[in-house]
Amino acid sequence: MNRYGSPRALLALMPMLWVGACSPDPEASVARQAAFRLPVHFPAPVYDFKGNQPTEARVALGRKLFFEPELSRDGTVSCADCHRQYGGFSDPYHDLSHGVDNLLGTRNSPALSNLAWYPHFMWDGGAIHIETMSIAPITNPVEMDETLWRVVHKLNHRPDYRAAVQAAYGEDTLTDQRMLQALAQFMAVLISDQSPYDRYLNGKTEALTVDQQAGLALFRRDCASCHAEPLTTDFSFKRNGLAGPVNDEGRQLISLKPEDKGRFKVPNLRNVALSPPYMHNGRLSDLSQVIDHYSETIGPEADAPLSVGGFHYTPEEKNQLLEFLNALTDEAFVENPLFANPD
Amino acid sequence: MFLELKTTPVKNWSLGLVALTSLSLVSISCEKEDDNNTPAPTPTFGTMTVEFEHVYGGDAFVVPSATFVNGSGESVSFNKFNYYVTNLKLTKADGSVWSEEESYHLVKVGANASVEIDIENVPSGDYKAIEFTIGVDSLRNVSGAQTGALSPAEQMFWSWNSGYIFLKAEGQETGGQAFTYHIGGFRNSNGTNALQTLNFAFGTQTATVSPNATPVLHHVVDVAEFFDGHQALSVLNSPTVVMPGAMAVMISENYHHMFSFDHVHN
Repeated sequence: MNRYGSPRALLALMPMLWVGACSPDPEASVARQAAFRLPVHFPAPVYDFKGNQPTEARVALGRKLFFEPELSRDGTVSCADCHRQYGGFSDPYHDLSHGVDNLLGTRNSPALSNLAWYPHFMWDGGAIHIETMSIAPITNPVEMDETLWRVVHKLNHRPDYRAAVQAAYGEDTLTDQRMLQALAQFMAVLISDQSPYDRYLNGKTEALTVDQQAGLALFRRDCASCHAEPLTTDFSFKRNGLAGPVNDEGRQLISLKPEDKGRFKVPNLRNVALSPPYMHNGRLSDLSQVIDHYSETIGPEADAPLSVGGFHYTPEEKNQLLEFLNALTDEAFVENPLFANPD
Repeated sequence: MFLELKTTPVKNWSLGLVALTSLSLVSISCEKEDDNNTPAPTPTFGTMTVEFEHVYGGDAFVVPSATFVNGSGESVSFNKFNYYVTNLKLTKADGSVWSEEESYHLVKVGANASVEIDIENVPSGDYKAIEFTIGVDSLRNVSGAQTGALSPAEQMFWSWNSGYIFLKAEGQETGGQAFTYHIGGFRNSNGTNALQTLNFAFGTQTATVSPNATPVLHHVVDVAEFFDGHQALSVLNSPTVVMPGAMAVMISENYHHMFSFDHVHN
């Protein structure tokens, strides 16, 4: 395998090779580093950009939409309100998502990164495509509570959107398909691959401290069977033995299988130190509590390889794990000006 | 001009070879086409109209609807009755089958009991049978943001559990109980496949398509069967079915029985 990953993944980048062939054409604009790329140590992405070839102008439109409060019914909530860049594109302020009229959702707003590698989205995996995923928060009555038709209608009255859509598509009319595809392009370029952990994986052993390396060894022993490297998740659904009533069926809502009751997606851990609170319902407020849970309080409902009680870490091991989790923070990602509000 | 690469599996291509191939494709696409061949005999095409005449028992069915009685003795009326008709195929007298491309149509019953779908660019010929599906095939359910009849702005798409709503029926029972039936589901794996495919032969009749002739395939859709075509659906017992599952499959088996082929108008 070459450094760009599989040949299939390479095909996704083909528009870059055709620059200017028969221009002018908006499809021909170049996808540079600000756009989609394949980290050398990642597997092939899931999203193949079929029918939605990445261009700078489309990523730019998607970015504008991501920060656009008019996606909500009353113009108060944008995607970025629950997915803040400094929080690893999560909401570090709330245990449950907050929508229009300060309505509360039922689950914690997840951190976003490396979404082109996701086979499904949401805590229960119910959304199965990066292009249609964003319909869920836009139309959910306790999130943005808006219709696609109305969003498109509102934005087509805005000269700034007319110009952005013209640049992206060569015509100035936004459609729901263009909106969803542009949002997908921006989400797909939110690639986090510059953390100390990534530098370590790419051969710079000094990128991790001695404690962090010891934490990585513990992580590989006890956690990586679900938080699979390098994406830090295998996208499976698990019960982690957190105590408390099961008032959210989790994966069972989608699979309809009784054994999936209370199972939730194994979360991506990149930028996890920036994205409290933790677990599907935001019950744990800091990483020490998370480590304490896996060390001591795993309940009987937990899926293998977790077992009742936990891993019984020493204080030193807990510190090593915490230090390792801090090494998943990607400063270049959370400070990248190309991912910030464009206005 | 922009060429969209087909992402068929390609093995062991080096970056250089792929780049070279793509450049050669681009250069071909930029050449002017010479057109000095003698034209072959040109096939001709026409339009076939597929008509769905909605009734409830013996009465015309429009939306908003009158009040009708179902098999459970409940008096019901409808505010909405939408469904997808997709993947139309027409069979000629010689047995050959023509399939409509991008064959996705959304029927929304409104003030007219009859809804007509024009199928364009049908090869001229004599047709003896039609096939279509109520619902959206599994591939389109998992292929990202669609447009046209499949635009999610039509509100026939579940975002929280990705997939199309194949049929949406909403209304109320006269006692005040609202009903909401959003029926879909395309997975065989968990027993939620609610796709219903229908085949109708025209019997002794033939539908002859030509540039000058647009036959109409007249179907009758009896909405009474929605409640009782296969198993009784009681609005009071089951007023809300809004996700894939066993109830959705049962209701899809009911509405399979709504459709019947009536006759061809040539």
